[in-house]
Amino acid sequence: MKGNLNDTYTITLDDDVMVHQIIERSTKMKTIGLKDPEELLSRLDDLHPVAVFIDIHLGTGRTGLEILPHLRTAWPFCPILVITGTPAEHSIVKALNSGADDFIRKPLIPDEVDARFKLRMADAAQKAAKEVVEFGDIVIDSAHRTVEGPLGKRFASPIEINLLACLANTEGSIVEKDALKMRCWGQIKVTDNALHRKLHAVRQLLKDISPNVHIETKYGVGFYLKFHGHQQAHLSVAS
Amino acid sequence: MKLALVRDAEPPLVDRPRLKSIKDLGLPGDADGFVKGLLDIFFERAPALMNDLAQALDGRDSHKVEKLAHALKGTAGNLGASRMMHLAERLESLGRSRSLEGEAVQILEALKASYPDTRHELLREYKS
Repeated sequence: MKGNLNDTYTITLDDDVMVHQIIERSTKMKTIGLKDPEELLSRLDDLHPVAVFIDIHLGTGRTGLEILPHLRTAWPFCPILVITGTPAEHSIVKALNSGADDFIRKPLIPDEVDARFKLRMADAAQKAAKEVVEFGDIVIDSAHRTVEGPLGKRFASPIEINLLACLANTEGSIVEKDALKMRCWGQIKVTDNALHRKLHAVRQLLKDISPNVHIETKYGVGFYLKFHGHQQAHLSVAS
Repeated sequence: MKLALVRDAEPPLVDRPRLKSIKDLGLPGDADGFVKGLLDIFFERAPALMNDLAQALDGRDSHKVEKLAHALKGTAGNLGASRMMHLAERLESLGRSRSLEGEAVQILEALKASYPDTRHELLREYKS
């Protein structure tokens, strides 16, 4: 189905159109069916799905598994369910480590597809309810991608918001470097430079909105958010 | 040899409960042709995949055999075409382990042989 981009829809990436149709009927929600991972990558900016179903073994160039981190970056809060027809558990583990939320097995069982879809949608709704996070005198609104403090309000990129929300959610605990990469990009292969560039951008952003909240570095361990004047007697490490 | 290959696994041609779960997705009496549409996709795709598999086997292209057999396994499995699904799965496994020298050709023959009966059974179940 082509789908009207103004409606609510899922995306199904699978080279078998039968799978698109079975998922659409099982979830009772329109799906935009695509066969080629590259096509999905080229349309990331135009598409705003409520959930994504993706065959991880698909593709002659990049596989579904390889594009997962890109999907997670583009749609940080969108449930991603991988479809696998291979018994190898390691591919499922890889997919979950690359940003997927859940998996469904082929042959597809309609009731299972629907149950997993509903479960992940409920999770997403729960996350959305927590999308406004307060820390010290700043408020991070992930849904609207804004950060507001006594000095003003700023918009931020999805990764910047993710990074800040992740640090704020741990309420001052240290977040390890790899854990931060995993939460923000969906993978730990991201270079340290990329992480530091994002941290730099977020530090600049914080300066514009509050003089009291800073990202601190615990060398060799990770990063944490600090509210000026707030005593942190003990720093635990969040992973 | 052919018989032995089928007898080893002995799954039914069509897994009725699985096909029913797909039929239940359609309107009563398949008024909008949803299930017939899926069957038509299978009837078009399965023979094409088996032809491509024959070529890939001739060319000893194990990666291609694995991919094509994986696709056939998926499309057969979705409709509950169990016997074809299991045969395709064995072919996929042989492709993955690059073992095309042994029984791969016989498995493809068994797949081709089971297709007409599978088609007949799927249509019969569809109409029932």
